[in-house]
Amino acid sequence: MTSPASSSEVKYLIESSEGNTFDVSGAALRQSNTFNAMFLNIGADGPIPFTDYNEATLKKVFEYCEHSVNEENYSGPKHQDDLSKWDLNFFNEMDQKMFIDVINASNFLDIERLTSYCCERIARMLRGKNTQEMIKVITLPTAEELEAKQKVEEKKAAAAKKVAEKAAETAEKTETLEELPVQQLVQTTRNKLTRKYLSFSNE
Amino acid sequence: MEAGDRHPFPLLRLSDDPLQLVVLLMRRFDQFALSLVSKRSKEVVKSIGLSSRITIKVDEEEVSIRIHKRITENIRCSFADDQVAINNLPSEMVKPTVTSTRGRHTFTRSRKGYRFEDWLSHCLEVFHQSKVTTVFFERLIPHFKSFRKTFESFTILKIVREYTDEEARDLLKLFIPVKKLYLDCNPFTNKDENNKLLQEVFIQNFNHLDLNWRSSLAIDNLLIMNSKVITISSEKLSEHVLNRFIKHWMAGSNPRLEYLELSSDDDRIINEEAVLKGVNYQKMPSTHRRYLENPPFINNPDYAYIDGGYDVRRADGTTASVLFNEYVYFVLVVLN
Repeated sequence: MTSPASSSEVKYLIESSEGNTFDVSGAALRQSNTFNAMFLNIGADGPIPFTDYNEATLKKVFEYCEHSVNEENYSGPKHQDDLSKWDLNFFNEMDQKMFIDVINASNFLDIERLTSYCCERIARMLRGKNTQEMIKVITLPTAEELEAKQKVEEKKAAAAKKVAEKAAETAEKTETLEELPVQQLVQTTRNKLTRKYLSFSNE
Repeated sequence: MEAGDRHPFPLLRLSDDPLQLVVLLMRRFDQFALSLVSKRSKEVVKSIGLSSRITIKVDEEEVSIRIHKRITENIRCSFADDQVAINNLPSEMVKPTVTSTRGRHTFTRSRKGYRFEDWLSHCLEVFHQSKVTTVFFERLIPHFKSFRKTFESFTILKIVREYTDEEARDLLKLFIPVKKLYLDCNPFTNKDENNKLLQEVFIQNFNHLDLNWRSSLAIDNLLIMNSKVITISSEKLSEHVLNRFIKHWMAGSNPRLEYLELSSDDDRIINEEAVLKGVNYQKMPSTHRRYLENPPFINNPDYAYIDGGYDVRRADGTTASVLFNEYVYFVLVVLN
């Protein structure tokens, strides 16, 4: 069951890569700029397909969103020392693979707070390391892995296009979709995020 | 994943956006260390658009590439003398020490295929600079002619100690042309102000010539200077010399001059009447403020203003304002 979100009680169905569906509150989903750009005003006809990410990853991401529903608006990266006990537990209980999956999913969904906390965590891990130490810490990708990454990026772009097409179809039905292409909306929110960090970094 | 996780982390396998965010959130020293890991990591650091001035300093102990953040130095790559000559050593032997400004972090590293010039290119590339800003010389290194070949153009040459006449001549010959020349002393052993080698330097067309002279300066040397901006800190010049300078300027000398600033620690008060004796000038009231857009001052401000002043005019209509103060005791600003 999905409908235009206006209150936290509204639930949306999310579809994972396994084809499984589960529901997420509108309040949690609204932390995703990608969702806001694509579905917030128009609603979704059927489950929202985030099929590039598995159920465990998506559930983890939305667990974070549900938890931070009542937090004040995001205003830039937070120092890791200022994280709450809940936040620390949330990060600590993930293994590395899950952590990377969460970053990538959070990045696609454009959830600024979660993406920035994850990235700050990695930046902190590399703090004060010299080049030799960094080489040990950051396993360098092989040529095959780089090729695989390229394929994943292409696949993601195709998936985003698919989501965008689906959103456009929905928009046609509701006749409320603005003219701006969804891909462009996604890119705009990403650019906004990058600009935020750029200005933060140069301060 | 815990903050102190010791498992290798596949950073470069992250998607492009979060990877860039991680690098943006890193400290400048860490970003630089990361740029040295691999070609891919260098490209990632480049992609976030960092911008830092790069300078080269030859001091008593080492030759260093210095990376600045705003006005302060942030990272230093220090090389031994024999590592800065072109093609002198195999790259494996070129092992600079990389230090963060506060000395909190340091590492020594060679990079395959990287000699001094490659390290410099790396810094310029990562920090998006087309050239070195300043080259400082506190001493002469053994292979300075070869060292000169390790980089191309730069903006400012700063020399802070004297050499033999021959060394100073060779040094200046090799490193000029340059847009700005800062001399913290007369670099020649022969201190005679009529030293032709010194005069050959003064007649160059610099955008900015800055002299931090301990001794006095002859009027003839002042008159042959051909730079747009001249700033001189020296013994105070006499009223007679200043008077002669104004008259010569009005008659057409120093045609490129846009701004002359003379300063001194000497607390002798300048007699303004004596400086302006016989000069046709117009005194502007101190309440009369004039704004200068993009003035040719050292820090390139967008605008500046002058209050009052004595306006003097050349036959070709060029007007300048003469100002007197305490530490900066004489200023001549060309207004049009």
